[in-house]
Amino acid sequence: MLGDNIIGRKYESDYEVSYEKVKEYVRVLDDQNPHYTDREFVKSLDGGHPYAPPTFAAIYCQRAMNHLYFDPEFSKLVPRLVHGEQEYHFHEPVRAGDKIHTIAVIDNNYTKTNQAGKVHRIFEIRTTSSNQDGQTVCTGLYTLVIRGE
Amino acid sequence: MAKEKRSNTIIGKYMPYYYAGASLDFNLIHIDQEYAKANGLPGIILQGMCTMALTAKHLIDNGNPAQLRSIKVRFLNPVLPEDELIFDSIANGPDVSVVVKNKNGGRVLKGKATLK
Repeated sequence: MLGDNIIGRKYESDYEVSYEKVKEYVRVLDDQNPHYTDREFVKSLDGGHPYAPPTFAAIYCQRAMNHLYFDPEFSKLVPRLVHGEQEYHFHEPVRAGDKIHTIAVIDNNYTKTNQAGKVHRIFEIRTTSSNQDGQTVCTGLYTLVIRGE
Repeated sequence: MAKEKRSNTIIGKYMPYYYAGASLDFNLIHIDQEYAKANGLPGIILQGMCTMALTAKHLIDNGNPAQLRSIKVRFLNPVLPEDELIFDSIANGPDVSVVVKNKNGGRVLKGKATLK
């Protein structure tokens, strides 16, 4: 059983946002917002590069989260893992070409008994992502539920 | 004045695979039927992050994405391939509450967002 010593464990990753990747991502969502896909439109709007959708945070945080999922202690729990809640706060917008550094920290770990009497284990992971200029772009809170047997 | 908005999306049969490719979330419950069933699920399920992304798409609605300041969601029930999802949001100024249901009326997501 994973003890409380896992609290504070930290995982980091770097991610460079590319225009092509953003286009692939929004194609999956069938999202035709020109802020993501139309380079000329965005240039005429504010002179910058195309935007990444706010929820692209899931992509640039994924590598740090994968370090958690493949942590030898945590990986045993992954088959019974479901995503319970997700919270993101967006700060500086993320745009194609940005280099994002993410730090994910295990912030909390507790159990919860549901109506059927099953004991679920809850992990809360806080992420902080910043860009190449040191500006915070996104802070997140992942609530992961390990379903009771 | 509260402003209400509704949109809907059909989840394609292969969407969990496409989203896995785009997001690198290759958790087997999203791509392997036997594995998903062996772990107590009805079959492969869509990544919660994908349902959240579709919710943000509903909220931003072709506008400037920087207007979305925060989003907080709870995943209530699994989304399955070929589900039809209905997104309902109510905005009171910058504060928006949103509920996503499947075609059987089951709630799959509820949440709150801030749009400036």
